[in-house]
Amino acid sequence: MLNREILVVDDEKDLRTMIRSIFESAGYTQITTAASGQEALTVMAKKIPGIIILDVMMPDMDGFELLQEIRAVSKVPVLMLTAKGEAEDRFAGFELGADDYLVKPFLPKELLLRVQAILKRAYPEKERVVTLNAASVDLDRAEVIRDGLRTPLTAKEYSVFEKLAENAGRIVTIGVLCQTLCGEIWQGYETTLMTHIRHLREKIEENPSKPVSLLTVKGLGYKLVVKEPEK
Amino acid sequence: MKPVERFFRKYFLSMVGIIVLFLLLNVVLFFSVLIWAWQTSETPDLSMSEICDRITLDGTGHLTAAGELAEMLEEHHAWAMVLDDIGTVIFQSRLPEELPRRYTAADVAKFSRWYLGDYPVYVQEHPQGLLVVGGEKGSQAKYYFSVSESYARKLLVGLAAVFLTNIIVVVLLIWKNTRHVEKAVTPILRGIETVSSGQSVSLPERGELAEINRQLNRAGAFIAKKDSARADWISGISHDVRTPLSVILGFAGQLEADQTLPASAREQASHIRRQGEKLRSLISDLNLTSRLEYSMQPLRMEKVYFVELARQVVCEFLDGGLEARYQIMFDSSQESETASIMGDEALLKRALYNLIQNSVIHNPKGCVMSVSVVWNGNNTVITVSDNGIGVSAEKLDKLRATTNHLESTDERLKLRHGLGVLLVRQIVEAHHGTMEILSEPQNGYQTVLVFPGGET
Repeated sequence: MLNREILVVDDEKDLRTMIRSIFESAGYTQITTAASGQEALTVMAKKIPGIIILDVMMPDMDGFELLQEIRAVSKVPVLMLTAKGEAEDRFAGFELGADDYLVKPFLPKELLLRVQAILKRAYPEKERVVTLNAASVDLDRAEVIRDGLRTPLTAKEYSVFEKLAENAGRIVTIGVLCQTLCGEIWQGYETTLMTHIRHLREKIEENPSKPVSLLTVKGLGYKLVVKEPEK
Repeated sequence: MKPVERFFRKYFLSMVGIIVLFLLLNVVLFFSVLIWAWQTSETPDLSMSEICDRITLDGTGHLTAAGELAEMLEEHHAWAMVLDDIGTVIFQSRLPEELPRRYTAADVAKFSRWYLGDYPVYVQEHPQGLLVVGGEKGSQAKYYFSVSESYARKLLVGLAAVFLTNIIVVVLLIWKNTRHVEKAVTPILRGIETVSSGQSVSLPERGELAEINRQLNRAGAFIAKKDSARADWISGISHDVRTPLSVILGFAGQLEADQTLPASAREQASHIRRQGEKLRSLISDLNLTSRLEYSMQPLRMEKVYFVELARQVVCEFLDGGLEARYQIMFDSSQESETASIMGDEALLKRALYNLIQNSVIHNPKGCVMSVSVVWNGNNTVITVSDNGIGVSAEKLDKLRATTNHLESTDERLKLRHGLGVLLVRQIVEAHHGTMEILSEPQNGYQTVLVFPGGET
């Protein structure tokens, strides 16, 4: 993931330098910058990057126009930076095919997390195996691998686990998980969710009554703690 | 009753009062004239009975005038005669030459009603016949009325009806006229009320008062334009500050994390970063609060499950690198799980976010925060509290009283403290909810939001 090429398009030199510096210190190695829409298109003509970080407000060609031009030739993931207030305007770029947006002024950590999440979605690992403390889960086969033994997950367990794995390290709220389980009308299904969580723990935890991988965050939801795969 | 209606009610009553006064005045004037004329006119104080008494039979069976009858008559330029039963003059005093000395019954009937040769005459029965007294020519007006009883009655009733009809018509006309004026003026007065509350109006620019309506519309539009210009200005400024602030936050964060720098330099970078973050929340608050203030922020109402909304906001904090000295406890009642209200999700999240952010900012040494969502059957009650340093009673009063940052009398506009709370209040009020703040110095800070309505 760290070797994905990042293209930063912004007319503000300081902002380009800052974003480059954020990604470099996070370990990303291939960062290209462009000062205008035209320059970005020239860069893209040579090689399509892994992700584009695009400012909406630019003098010659604004971010939305550029996005349309990009979408005409490529499905490369695009994160847009906007200077409009967050609650004031619903983001217009989604209709044009932006993958996510971030409101200025943003915190460096936010930018990193968003880009990571987009890259993870856009370029899934070849083998989708999640390594946990006591077991690992093969998402493609919906199986828990523990001490060499493979135990299948039920469809419901799988959907809950997948949601938690997608957001590994972050709390997934009860509402979001219930929605994953039951669809549109999800209110009042907390007990059903708890049953599935219990079954999941029996399959993945060393000691299901003292979970270390699938944690409960009281009142809020659940969090999956994943071991980073060794490189 | 509204002031406008009260004004027109009063106006109508005063018009009716004027008419009543007018009528009364006329009655008084009429009687005054009658009395004045009666008192100042020469009246023939010739008494018929006195004259009658003075004409008596003498010993010869002839009538004679006793006393000063002739002088009496002369004084009044009058004359007198007595007719016997067959119409012959059997006594006369100062009777003009040109008048006959014999009268037929028809003559008598005529002159007793009208005139006798232009002399106004009066008749009275005398023991010897009929006493006729004549006055000076042109001294008296004599009319004779004789009408049928039913005619007279109808005439009286008719006159009363005419009088009443007149009154009713006048009152109706006044009423109609008042209504007409009211109809034309009420929208203008309402418009002034609206404009004075800072909103624009759109009155039809027709009729006699079109010009006034036009001016009022212009005044309203002018105020709205100023408001929107102010909001746009704030939005523009905050827009221009966003990019530089991103750069500041980014580099400060980098420096803070740079292990090759001395600890003191990293500490300084950390200060820059924290102040930058304050500036960041201030800018977005300022922009949103001005838009809410001038009603430029449309609410996107949808079904909102508050428990889930609150969970997401709390998780945002917990996952967003909240430092270890801060803790957030979350609590919700079983019934609140399925309770929903109609609201703007983004704004409600923002309100909750601001409350938690406030606790974080004002307790730099850390604190335990608690967020709870309870559905009590009628309302959704959100409580956000911390066990931190709290605020003084004086500060609390200020926070409770903050309703409008543009009305602030504080010359330094302490936005650092007040704006976040103001924005929460605006959002809560836009959802018809209430907000209450409780705090004591060194004893925590609590905000209770109550949103009415909703369903489970």
